[in-house]
Amino acid sequence: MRAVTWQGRNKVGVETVPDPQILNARDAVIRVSSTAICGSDLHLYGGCVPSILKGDILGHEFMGEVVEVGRSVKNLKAGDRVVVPFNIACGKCYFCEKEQFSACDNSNPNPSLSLMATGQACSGLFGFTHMCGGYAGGQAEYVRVPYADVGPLKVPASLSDDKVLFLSDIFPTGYMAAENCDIQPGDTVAVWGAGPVGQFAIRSAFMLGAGRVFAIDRFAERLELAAAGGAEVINYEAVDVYDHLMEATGGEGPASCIDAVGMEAHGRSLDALMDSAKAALRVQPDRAHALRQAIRVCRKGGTVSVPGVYVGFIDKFNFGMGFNKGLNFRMGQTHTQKYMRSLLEKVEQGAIDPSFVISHKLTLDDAPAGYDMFQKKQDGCTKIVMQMH
Amino acid sequence: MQKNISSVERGISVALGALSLLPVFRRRKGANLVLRAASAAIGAGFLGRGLTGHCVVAQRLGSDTSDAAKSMQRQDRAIVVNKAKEEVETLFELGGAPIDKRSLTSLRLSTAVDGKRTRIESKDGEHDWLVLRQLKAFLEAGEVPTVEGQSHGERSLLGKILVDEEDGEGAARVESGETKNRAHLNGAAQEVHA
Repeated sequence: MRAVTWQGRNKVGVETVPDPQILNARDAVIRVSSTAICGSDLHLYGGCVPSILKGDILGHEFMGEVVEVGRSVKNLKAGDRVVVPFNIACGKCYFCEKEQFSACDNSNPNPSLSLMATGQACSGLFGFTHMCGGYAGGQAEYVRVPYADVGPLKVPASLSDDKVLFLSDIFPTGYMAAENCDIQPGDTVAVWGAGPVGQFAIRSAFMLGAGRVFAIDRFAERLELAAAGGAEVINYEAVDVYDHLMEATGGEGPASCIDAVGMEAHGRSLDALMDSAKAALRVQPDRAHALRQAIRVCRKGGTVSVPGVYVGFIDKFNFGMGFNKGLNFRMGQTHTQKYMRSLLEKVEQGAIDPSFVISHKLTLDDAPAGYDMFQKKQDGCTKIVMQMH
Repeated sequence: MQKNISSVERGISVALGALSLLPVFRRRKGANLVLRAASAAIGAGFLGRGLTGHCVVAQRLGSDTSDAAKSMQRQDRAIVVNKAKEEVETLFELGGAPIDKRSLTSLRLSTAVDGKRTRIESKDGEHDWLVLRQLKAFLEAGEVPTVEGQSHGERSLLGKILVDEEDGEGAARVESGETKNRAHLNGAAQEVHA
């Protein structure tokens, strides 16, 4: 089969590799119909995340048709059309039973690496480094899906791939980020990063009762998309974000701040420049300018919710601000399986059409150009979907 | 090849290996061939030690300072399984656990502090943390997770070393000890949970 593989920093390739096979009784093999490039794939692409190797198959946003199931998978059969959550969960451990699927205790076959890095072993993720299990990803014609009796969600034929593909990651991720804010009716929410996750966080915040949502970014097309979703937009290159938000909220600050940027924040302030220098020297992977700004501007007693990916240590982190303002911090990989069904219902009811975020449709062979374009934010690129057929 | 030295030792070995190889490639008239050969041998030895993380001397001495070994040492060699003690005992009686049946006597089972789950402890340290994790996965999820034998693209030399690729099957394994006997483990899991 053809698959997108990591070839080194800022380089991916499309290789012919062996087709995946059932390895465990709870596995399924899916013939991929659509797969997307996620913003967090760009962290891998840029070589920012440790323990990725040349030849690793990328991709964790994908859907398709079941072609084979292991003997313990009773809820799926060949021919079923499914969306697959990006994180891999056994469904049986303490964490899965509490619907904390991204904390699954059993799905990572290489737990030592993440144990050393984070204190406890993380769950497995598709196409996201050997620390997260080393699983082959879904930017391929076929993919093996472990614990297929837990993760994949059957989707109706009446809904196109474009409408349901993002149940695999960015829609639940944006939704969980907003849900983590415990939004009260009429609350003001600020979202850093108007990329795909930020866009879904904006719309989810309104669904959960926010009165005003601010979107902070620098790319015109992303800010336009955010405005179309009802957000008030801030171009951080044109205005001071802290001053603007404080003025807009009568000196209180937003009740909730969502960092949908993560580890590759841009900025021209001293902390942002120092982060960039440290990242270039490989002494600190995370560039946390957006997170620092969110903590500074957040209302006292408010919530900072972090769906953006961080992987390591952050220098000059303003934790004291958080303490003295009594902030709540919520973060982590999305418990995707918890949200997929209810968000599918919203799509079926027409409450949201997730395809609004797609800017480019490519083929798998276009992946190298697609990664390059997405990383450089060229051609108004907000979201790339690769279609197989 | 099982890693048995730490990341720091590996780095030092690679540096020493590179330094030792310098005289081999230096063009100098009348250079001593014996000295060059010795440098090449020492350099290759250090480089091999650093790149593979495996040291034959440490192996002979029974020493293992690898990062994985250290992480295991930090564990208390106990796990908590998300099942009641009676359920765990029943699963053990059914057989198929990824631990030799004779070794089951070396495990101490007790009800966990929450009164619901089961704490399993390796009494004499016979079973390391990774084996206990495999046991936990088997008892809870019915199978031991694996990526052994899955598809991947062309690896670099470093990648081949790091994932311990064996048998040309394209197996991606970061820690060689973690997935050993997988076929046995998963076969057993499938029987019990069928």
